[in-house]
Amino acid sequence: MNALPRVLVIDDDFGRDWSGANRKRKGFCDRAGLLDITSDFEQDRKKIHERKEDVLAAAVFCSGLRNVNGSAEHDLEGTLDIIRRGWSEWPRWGLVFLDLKFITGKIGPDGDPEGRKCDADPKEFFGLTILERMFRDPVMKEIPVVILSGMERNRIEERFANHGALDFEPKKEELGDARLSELLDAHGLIEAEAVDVNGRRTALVGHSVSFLKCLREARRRARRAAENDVGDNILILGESGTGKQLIAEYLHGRAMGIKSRRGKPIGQFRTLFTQGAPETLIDDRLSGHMKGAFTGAKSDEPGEAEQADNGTLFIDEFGCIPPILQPKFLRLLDKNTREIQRLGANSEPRKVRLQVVMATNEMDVLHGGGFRGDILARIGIGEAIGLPPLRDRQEDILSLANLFLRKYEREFKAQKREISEAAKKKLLEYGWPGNVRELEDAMIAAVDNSRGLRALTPNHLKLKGIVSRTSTPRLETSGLTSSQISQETSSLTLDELLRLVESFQFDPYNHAHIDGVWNRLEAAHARMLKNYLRAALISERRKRPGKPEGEPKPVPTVLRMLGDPKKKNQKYLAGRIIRKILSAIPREEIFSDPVLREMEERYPREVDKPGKDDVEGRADATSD
Amino acid sequence: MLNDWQDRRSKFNHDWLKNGFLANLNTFLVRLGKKSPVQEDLEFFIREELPEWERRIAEADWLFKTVEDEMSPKRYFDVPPLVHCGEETKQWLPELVHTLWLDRYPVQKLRTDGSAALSRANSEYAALKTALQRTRILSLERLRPLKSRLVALRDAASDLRDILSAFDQDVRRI
Repeated sequence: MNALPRVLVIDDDFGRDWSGANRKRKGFCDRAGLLDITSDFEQDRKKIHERKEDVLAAAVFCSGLRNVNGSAEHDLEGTLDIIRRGWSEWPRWGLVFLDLKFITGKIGPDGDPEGRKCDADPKEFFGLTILERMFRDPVMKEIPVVILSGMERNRIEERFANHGALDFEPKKEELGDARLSELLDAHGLIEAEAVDVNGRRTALVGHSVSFLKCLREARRRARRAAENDVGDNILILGESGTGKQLIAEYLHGRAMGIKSRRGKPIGQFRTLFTQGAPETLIDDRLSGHMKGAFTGAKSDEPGEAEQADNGTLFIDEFGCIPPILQPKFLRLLDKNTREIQRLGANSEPRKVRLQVVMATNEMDVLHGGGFRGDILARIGIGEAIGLPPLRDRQEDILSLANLFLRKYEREFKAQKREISEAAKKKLLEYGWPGNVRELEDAMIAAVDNSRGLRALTPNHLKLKGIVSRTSTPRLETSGLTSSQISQETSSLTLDELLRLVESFQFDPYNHAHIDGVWNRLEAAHARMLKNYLRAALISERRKRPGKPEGEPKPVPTVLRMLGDPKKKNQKYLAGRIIRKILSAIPREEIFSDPVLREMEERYPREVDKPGKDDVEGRADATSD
Repeated sequence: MLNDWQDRRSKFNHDWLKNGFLANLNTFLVRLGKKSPVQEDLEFFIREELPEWERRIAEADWLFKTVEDEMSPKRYFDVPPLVHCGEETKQWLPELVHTLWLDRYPVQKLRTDGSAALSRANSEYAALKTALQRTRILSLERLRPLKSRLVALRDAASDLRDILSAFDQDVRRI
């Protein structure tokens, strides 16, 4: 059973009553379906773990104030500390409700502060100060915040919208359980339901931030698909083995749930596999056929698209669709037509209403390689749901490992086992290039090979490689995988990154900030230049017969990097710069990357010998 | 800087009516709908939270009666720099500004609507109070039939809240 989603309510109404009664908080919880787990709230601790029917989430309340000699004062650092601590480990805040106006001043006999005029001044709202501090913090800015206030919003709309607030809940007296449920669904970082629509236990297990953000995006898209009469087209990008089909099923379950509640017709989840299948078979599976359409077509058969009418058509490995079939997919993906015609049919095409979920790990989709522009325009690349690779979901690894262990212990009738500390370490340090599928395979092997044992030790983990979590993942010959692109393109813009680097100040009184950081700084600088070179090489690749992934062009690449196409001695310059960048990176790291390996081979580094700089450096050191 | 009227409006409307009275009233309605609410919570609302209406509602009356004077842009003539205007100018300009303000913005209509909403809410409260006086025992069975009266009070108080929120957030400049 999943943990209850946890919400943080930062509101002076709840908790500022120092007399201890705090009835407002209790009333708020009763209205919104919350279980108060604030440490100052007297209750049976066991209740936290009981999933009561009318409880949607567990709530921690924070007044944002502190009592200073009988006066209520804003407590910015204390509040930020509570936010930060509750975010650092699971169960972390799924949603934060933030009030705007916090009443300060001398605390009266009734426990309420008398208030100051500045408390109600929109320019001085303490809630906005908290929000702005959260937004400036690279970790806390990920936390979903909904403004919860009875104050007039017009004059401050831009300010809170610009600092990451996701919604504004205008009147707290109206926040009931139905609305809380909507807000959690739309904005909350919450786990997937433990069972799917058919009541089966789902493997959508995990609570890492990247995975929960992916689920939230999936819920958003499912909502939109369910609201649209002709459905929607949704693209899922993720490396092989990350669980794209599970996300597609999640999308289906969510969308069908919404449609069902609204009395709309619902349909089936159908899958169309394209990888390795001949064109004719893909066409037949997608469109269906009429009797006599081809040899062996003994009766009329609907295709997957028709069978998924009002439901979901999941197209796995969408990148493998042959070019010749693309016009047919276009008719299906175009929401104005949404039609399909069976092979051999003479009648008008059939209209269908469905959500089309496409999954791929082919970055060619993003680069437009092999796809018609009109198809790319319809699959919603810009809104693709990115499924993170397992190496980016470290806190999910052990939960998933345990999930698979329990499953296969039951299946093989094996002993129930615990994962030893050393095995946990090995699981966490491994890079999981094959993602969740590889982890599942490893657990199957571990259980199958030692059915009678009650401990899983490092010896039982037959991992394919020695890829460490921190090493650079290999590139596939067909291009970059989605996660590699997402690793390269962080949410920071280049300007933001440079500003951040340029303005970073080291703390002169914090030894950990200074001691031995030189090597890391040098390495980080070198890697950044390497990533820059790699991106430029890929962007300048030219396709040639026999080289569908493209051929690198070092000279235009370097000129592009330097932003000056008129440089003299272009070939010499390109060689010098590429050699300089690569020489700062360990050879094995370069050789694990086909794009850079080719450059290393073309511009081999010189044999190490002491250079002028080295000698000068030593002289400096000696004189010190 | 906020003036006194805005400050008192904020304390009454935001701090008490929205976050206190209406929130408590809604909670009570939610609890009435539950299978087995805590009796103590129900009694606390009827005995302590609901009667707060009588203690606070005069503030709404004051807000409606004074809004035209307190929020008028003629107030700018009481503080620098317009306080330095010549006496002769002060004889006519503040009143002209006030008249223009009333002409351009629906202050008087809001005031009239607000007073009417206040009167309605007071009537609903009085009716509920009478009904409660007939109900000596505050059991769930006795309280549930009063739900429609409670909802009527909530709706009237919500109208009052909305009208109070609709007044300007600042003293306007004409």
